[in-house]
Amino acid sequence: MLDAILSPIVSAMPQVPPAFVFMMAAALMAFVPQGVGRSLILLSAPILSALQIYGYGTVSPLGGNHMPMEFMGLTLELMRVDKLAIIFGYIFSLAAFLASIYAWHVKDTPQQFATLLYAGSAIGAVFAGDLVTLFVYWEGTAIASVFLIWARRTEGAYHTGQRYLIVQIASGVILLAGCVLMYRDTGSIAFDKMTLGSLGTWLIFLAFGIKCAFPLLHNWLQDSYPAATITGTVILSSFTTKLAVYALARGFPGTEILIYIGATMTLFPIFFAVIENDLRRVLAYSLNNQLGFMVVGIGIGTELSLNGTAAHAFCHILYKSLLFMSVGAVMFRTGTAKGSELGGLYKTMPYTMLFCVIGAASISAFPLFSGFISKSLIVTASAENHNWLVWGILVFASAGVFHHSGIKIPYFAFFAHDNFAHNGGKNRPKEAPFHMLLAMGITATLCILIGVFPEPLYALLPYSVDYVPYTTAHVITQLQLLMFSALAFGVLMRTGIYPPELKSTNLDTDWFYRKFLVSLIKWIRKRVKLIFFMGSLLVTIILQKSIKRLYSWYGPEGHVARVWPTGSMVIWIAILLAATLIVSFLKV
Amino acid sequence: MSENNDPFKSQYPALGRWLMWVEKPNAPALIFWAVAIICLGLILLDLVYHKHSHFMIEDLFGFYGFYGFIMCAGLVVAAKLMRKIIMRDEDYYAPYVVDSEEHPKFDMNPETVGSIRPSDNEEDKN
Repeated sequence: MLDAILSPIVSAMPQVPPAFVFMMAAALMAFVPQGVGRSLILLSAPILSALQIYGYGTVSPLGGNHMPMEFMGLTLELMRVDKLAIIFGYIFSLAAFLASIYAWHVKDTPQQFATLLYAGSAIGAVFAGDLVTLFVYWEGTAIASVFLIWARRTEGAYHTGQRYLIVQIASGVILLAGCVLMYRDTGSIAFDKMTLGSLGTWLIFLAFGIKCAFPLLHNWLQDSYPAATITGTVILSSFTTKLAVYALARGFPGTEILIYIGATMTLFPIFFAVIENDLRRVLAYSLNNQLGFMVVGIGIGTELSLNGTAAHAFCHILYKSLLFMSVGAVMFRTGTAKGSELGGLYKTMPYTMLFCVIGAASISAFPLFSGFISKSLIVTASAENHNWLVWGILVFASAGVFHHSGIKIPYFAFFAHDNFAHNGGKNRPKEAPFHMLLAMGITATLCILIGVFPEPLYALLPYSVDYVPYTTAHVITQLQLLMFSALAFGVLMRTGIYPPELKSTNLDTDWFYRKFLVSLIKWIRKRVKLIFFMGSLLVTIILQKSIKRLYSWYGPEGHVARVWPTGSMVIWIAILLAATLIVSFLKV
Repeated sequence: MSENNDPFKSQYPALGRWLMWVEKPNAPALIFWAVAIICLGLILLDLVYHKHSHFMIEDLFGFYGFYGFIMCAGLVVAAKLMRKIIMRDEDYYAPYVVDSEEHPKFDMNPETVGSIRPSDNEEDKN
């Protein structure tokens, strides 16, 4: 039925790459004054982009190069359309649409342009058929997105943006280096499945890994996402890392090392998330953990696991946006996302709380919520891979994510200690504005619909799906896992073991470059400065002494000057003349 | 604050007012025991269905429940211990981070239930 409605609309439209839709919308926006017009452009660009993707997916054949372009002797492939690209294209368009509803109140020009160019670049990268096009869009996402951090316009945000940009640009430069080496080795710039081996492929892998927040390369994520504006973080959470997941799924499916990288990624962030105070940073850690599941899926590389990665990326973008939206709504009213300063908000912000709980249930993979039908594809694939260690880590990480995202976020934001009871409750924040509730409501509805009716999503996946998520065993075991995690939370709270939310900074591996390396450089600088100073002092002293001594010897008052007879020069001239005479005699 | 002397209660959304039962003194215990009973029920369900297991350990009675409980408790205890090593003041990286800064006013709209209403504004002017 949907096809019957959409096909005539799409065939009546000129075919334009979806990325160009966003670029054109940005160009158009430059001529539209701030107000409803701009907000409508921001809303319509993702809709038109999704329609274009639909057109490319149905009207044109899949897999072809739909937009060849000659550039410096290379054939670029601007539109490579297949099912893997399409599902990411759709979800990126949907995420941009939902974020634009949520950001309806934003009247900040840089943020509006950044949103369009960022989403456009991400979608462009998804359809890039060659590494050069990918590189251009890859850098596009980096440059556009940093303005969402700088839009906060504080000193801290400025520095954080700088750090973010350095990491993102580094990823792009490494990608370009890898691309050049690949071209030298193979003579091709096609962006297809690669095998790790040559330096070029390793560099490309590293570039993807930086954007995907691999362990030890992850800090930019937790550093920068809590530093953006309220709406900026919602937008940031959707694109960069999932673009990297897409790139890995396209370039390195079945690369075994990804299984272990992914498993590590699911594991370590949950420890940090438990003790982190800033709830947006808790979400950034859990985002990192969810990326781990997707990376494991890519590493296993079976049809089931790759389907799992694509499905999980789709669901994840929705529920993670929803969680960032709900915490953002709390920030919009209270000015903070710190667990230690929130609590008791359910009274006046109950609908925000409800949407947050739906997001939490989805990320925790409760049956009937979206995470359940996508994460289980990956966990089942890992079990079928018979790797008990990875499987055990994934199950633990599933319980852990419920613990810190599913329980901690709603509990400390909306319940726990009531921090707004003073002044007779006069300072209790009002419920989030209508447009935010609307954006959260639509996203929450999608999370539930996908959870209850997974088939439409399964139909979008790259491979045909032969998987039934709702089996008795799966539902019961998942509920056991989650409810016992909740019970553990309850026991730890009642016994007072659960760590309270404290105003704090937790050191992560970024300490090495933000503190240790800085101290090391300062230490070396101090020593070098000292050595240089001592050296120059020594040389000065030696020179001064030498000059004085020479002066005392040869100066007008010197010993040598005094004892030399006036006739000594005449004698020397006579000797020289004699020597010359002898030499000329000998010569003859 | 108990629910009876909340002067702004009438302004709370209906869902918020309805949920205020969680502030009753025995509510946390009630929720906890409800969760515990659900857990018990879920464990007992293990007796009545067949698992399609990939690993032997999955066939253990109530494996998923106990695994979830033990690992989560371990997670929290380990994270709490981590605090001893990695926790620093909020302004540790200041002024290069946003953590110790106020959120800029232009990016928020801090309306409260006790916000000055138009009528109050007029009184202020008078």
